[in-house]
Amino acid sequence: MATEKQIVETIDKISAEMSGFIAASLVDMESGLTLGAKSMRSDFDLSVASAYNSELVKQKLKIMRALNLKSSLEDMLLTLSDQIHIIKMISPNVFLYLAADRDGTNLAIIRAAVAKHSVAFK
Amino acid sequence: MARMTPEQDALVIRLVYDGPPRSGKTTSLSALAGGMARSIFSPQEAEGRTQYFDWLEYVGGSFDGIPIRCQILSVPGQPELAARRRALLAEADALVFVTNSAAEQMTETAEHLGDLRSFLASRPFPRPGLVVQANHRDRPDALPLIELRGALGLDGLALVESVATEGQGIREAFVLAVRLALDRARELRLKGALPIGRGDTDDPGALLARLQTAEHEPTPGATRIASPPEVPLLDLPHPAGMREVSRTPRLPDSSAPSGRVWPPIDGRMLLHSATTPGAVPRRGNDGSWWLRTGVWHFHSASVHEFENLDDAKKVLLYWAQRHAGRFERLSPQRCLALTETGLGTWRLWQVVHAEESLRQRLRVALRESSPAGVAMLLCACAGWLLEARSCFSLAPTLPCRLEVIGEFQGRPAYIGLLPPPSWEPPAAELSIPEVALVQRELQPLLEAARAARRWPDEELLAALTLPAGERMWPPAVAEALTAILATA
Repeated sequence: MATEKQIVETIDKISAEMSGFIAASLVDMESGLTLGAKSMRSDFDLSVASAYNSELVKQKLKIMRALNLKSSLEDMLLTLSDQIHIIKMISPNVFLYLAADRDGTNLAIIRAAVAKHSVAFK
Repeated sequence: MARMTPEQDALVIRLVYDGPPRSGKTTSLSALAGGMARSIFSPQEAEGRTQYFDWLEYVGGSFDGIPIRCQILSVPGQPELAARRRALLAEADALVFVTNSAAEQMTETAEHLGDLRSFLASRPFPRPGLVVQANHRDRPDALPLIELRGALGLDGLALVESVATEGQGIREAFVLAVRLALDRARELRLKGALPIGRGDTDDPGALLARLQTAEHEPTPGATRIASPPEVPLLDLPHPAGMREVSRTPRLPDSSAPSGRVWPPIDGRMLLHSATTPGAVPRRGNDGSWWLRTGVWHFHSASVHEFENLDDAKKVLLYWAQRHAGRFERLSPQRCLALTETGLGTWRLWQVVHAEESLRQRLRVALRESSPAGVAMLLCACAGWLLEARSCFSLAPTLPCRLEVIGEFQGRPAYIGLLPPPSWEPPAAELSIPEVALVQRELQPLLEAARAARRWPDEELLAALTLPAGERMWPPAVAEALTAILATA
């Protein structure tokens, strides 16, 4: 797994390839703690968001098991009225959480930027 | 000690940073605090050195949907403050041992770590997990990691590199320590032993007051790893069955969720030590998956792939029970882990540290030692073999061969993969006389040494034949060895 410095550098690269970047964190699903994070807004509490998102991912995985789905979770896309949130699984127990302004970007750009750089998190 | 708040709206855990003086414990906490936008409280600091503790509190993360309140402390490292240090260590749910990295500091560091490990071994189950944070990695005289591991005996321990003055590695060590503390909290909850309520040292003022008036706390007796709940063999689920696997399964690592590693805390630390980035397991002819890294052996039997996580957990519990039942007869560094295969199934792995077998040890001695040294080791190995046979024959049995027996603290232990429940030794194996068993195992080695003509048999026989008062091994051992040498 990448170091905290490498994680932040990779998040910087992702944010440089999109506009509307708000915040992103690499999250340890087991503890809900961030392994590295960057936020452009002081009112966007990444530690709280990361903790609750870890529960969200765990619940999604429980749903998949309950449905006896044989596939693995790759990402989750959440569209808010003014923001887009993406949760991208980096490994079975680590995910990237990214939030962006809807006005400044679109889903395709976010996914492309994340896909391009996510291998650096491993 | 981990506990739930009275309102059960948070889990409180305590992480303690230990280490020799000036290793960077306080600097590590300062770096952590900076990243969390928190401040540290350090009562009665003197000349920049911690006298009691440094205290940092952080609320974040999630434990089954509720926040985690981390009390993060560093202890004084000065030898004259050892009693305070121990009082603080006693309440840790996980520890981060901050080390120096320079060669000239290894002796002091090893002594300090040895003291910590002895203290942890005396703690009741579940014992706190330990992360080693190798600090000062930016120094030009920092030992390479492999040498640091060897100098400090870090096999089986999670190791993270750091440069605390630059904040590097601090977060990684902290998150890993929190994972270990959560494992401990879950174990306590499983046993019905996770307290609910306020702690009496929940703020730095209360802790300082207690330390200032406390007496030395007695060390509780050590307990072994408790056996997990019994899972009847008949209730075990059927595995997924043989299937064509087009993708290589993932190897287990320390990020595995709680409940999928056994033993829960030590197993996670072992996995952190055992994991090699980029390592890929190989497929055996029998459909199993395996990997040998030189130090660690990963193995997953063909039948240990499961379509249902609950079924997989049942089998994990069953295998944990099998391990716990033989705890004293097994080499210590081993664990079990469940991983997602990436195909919607789960796979059970055994992870075992490679240990020197008696056979390897004898081969080296036969090449390099004197007849007297060889005689001593032959008799010791024969004695361990016989002792192992009497232990390993108790149901469920273990193979009794020199290549799967090692020596730990003067006693034989099984160092191989635990065989499947269906394995049974040949009937003749259970009734073979002692002399015949020793002959079977040692004769090939002795004949190879004889062929190399290192020394005449008479010298070895003389070394084996000691007056009764000088013998340290059972007569059957010397009898068997003499019989081997008598066959030409």
